[in-house]
Amino acid sequence: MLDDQDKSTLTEADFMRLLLQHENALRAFARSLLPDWDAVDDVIQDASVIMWQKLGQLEDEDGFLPWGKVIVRFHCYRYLEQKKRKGAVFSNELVAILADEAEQINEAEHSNRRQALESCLGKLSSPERELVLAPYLHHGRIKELAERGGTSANALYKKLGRLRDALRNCVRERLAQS
Amino acid sequence: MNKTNQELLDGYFQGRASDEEVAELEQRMLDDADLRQQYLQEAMCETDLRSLALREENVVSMPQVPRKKRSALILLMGAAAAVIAVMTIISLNDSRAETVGRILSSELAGWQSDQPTIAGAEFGPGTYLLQRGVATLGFHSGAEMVLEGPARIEVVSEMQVIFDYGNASFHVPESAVGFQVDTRYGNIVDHGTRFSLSLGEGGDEARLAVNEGEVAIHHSGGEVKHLFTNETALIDGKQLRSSEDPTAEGGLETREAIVALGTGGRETSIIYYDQYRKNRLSPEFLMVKHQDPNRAKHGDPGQPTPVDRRALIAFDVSGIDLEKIAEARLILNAVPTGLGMVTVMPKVSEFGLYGLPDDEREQWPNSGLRWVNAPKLEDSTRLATFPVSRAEQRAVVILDTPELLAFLKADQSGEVGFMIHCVTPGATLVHGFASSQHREAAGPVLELVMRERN
Repeated sequence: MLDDQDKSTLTEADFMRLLLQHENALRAFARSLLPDWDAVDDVIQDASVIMWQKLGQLEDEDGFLPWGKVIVRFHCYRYLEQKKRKGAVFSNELVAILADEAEQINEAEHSNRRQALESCLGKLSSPERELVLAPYLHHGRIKELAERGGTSANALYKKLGRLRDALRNCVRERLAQS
Repeated sequence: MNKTNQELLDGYFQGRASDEEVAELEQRMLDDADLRQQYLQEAMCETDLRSLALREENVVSMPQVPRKKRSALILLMGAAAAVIAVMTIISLNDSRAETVGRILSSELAGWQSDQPTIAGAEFGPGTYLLQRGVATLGFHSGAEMVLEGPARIEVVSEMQVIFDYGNASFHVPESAVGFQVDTRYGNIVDHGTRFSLSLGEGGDEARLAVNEGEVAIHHSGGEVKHLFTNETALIDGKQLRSSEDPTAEGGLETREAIVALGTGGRETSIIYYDQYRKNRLSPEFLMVKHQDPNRAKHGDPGQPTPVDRRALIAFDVSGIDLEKIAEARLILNAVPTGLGMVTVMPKVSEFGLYGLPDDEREQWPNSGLRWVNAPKLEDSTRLATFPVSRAEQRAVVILDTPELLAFLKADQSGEVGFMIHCVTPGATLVHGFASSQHREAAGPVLELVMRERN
């Protein structure tokens, strides 16, 4: 009966909106604890379903991100338990510390960082932007870019490293100004 | 180790770090709170960059079709193959106050977007890209749309959809009479019916079939035509031709229907060492493995290793007129089993689809089958080969070789059986394909395009 009393008034549409709004923050949280994107995608998928099913636990919209992080954290632990048998990942001790610290990051910080990043990306030329985003697309994208531009993949990786450094500095400066 | 913190972080996030480097990064992070903050910031940056990259790729990869020139190849659509449904929302308002319907079904396996849809969630106006598979959209008006990917649509309201390309069938009850589907060549207004359409991405004509009821087609050239139960129409930029039209030309003389068959539970996996049968097979997966005997603990050159696996599937074709099969496609969903290590595998493993002999050897039981009693690879006929990358264990495999078609047409027994075998010797990873019991992805589907003359 407690469940019924606690039932939130959030609708399915609210849930979808909140998930879209906070999904990047939840993904970043999961990425902090998990070794690769496949793991993040799997965990976010499973956790989203649980969030959907347990929406009644959520009392108001403001609590969505911390509540979602708790669910994602649990699913990350479960994933890591399975993964530990197969290969190297961080220890439980470090993962717990990282989770505690990552839980403290609020939506405003996520949002500020994203805006700063987008602004800094906007300063890059179109080919530079394409190069910076290439590693997140399919394997071999950098090689394709190298072939298209008549250069070597190695040269592009070096250039990518420099661009990443520049982006990092730019984001840092923007956040310091805000 | 002389690497800087940033180098270790870069290596970690780019998946290039060795076990030693991961351990070094861990030690440094345990000792250094600032480095942990740097790490968390890096994780946020990585997430945002990936999100932007995926979004831009989707937008760039979409055809830039002017609104007035939307593609519309409307084909008759049979039962859609229920492969993994992957719905990608391309552009949605952040504020989704207005919803026009609910996603009734959309299998979650294989999300590729940073903005996934969830079955049961409400959706609003916007552009949707269904990369593959099947999703059912229920509009608040009562109209229902079953969409088969690849497809791209724009939802305008609970009563209107702009259909760019894809396959779909619609059910429009009385409450939604007037539901409108806009295509490049004209608009379809539903007067209470079930109808199907399929729009090829870049095709130059559209085909529409009314399964029940009535629709009105408003051709962009001004012509209006009403279609009724069992009537079909071809639409292109110049004209609109229905099957009742005496001027109908070639395209309508040939009728196509697609029959999609599931295994109905006729599926199993076998493992060489019989003692492993209970604990190392799962009804959720069709498991396949071919371990290199030289890398196995108890390997014997020339023999399967104890953990080698093969999968068997069969389809009941007793109700099918085999002579009328024009095309055949076997669709498998590759899925990770979670067993074994990916990193020690060859980058790509080659698989073979083999046709089982059409005699008593295809009468295998659905459970408890031992390797020694199972159909033999050497008695079977190779019908197709296909690769699965270790980096992409979730994949839709579509096999449509002439050998497969010939094998089906030659069947005498009413059941066609297949074996899936891994040709490439590998290490520990157990390859998987979804069985009909898989919790997310759909099991094997045999899709037959039937052709008959009117």
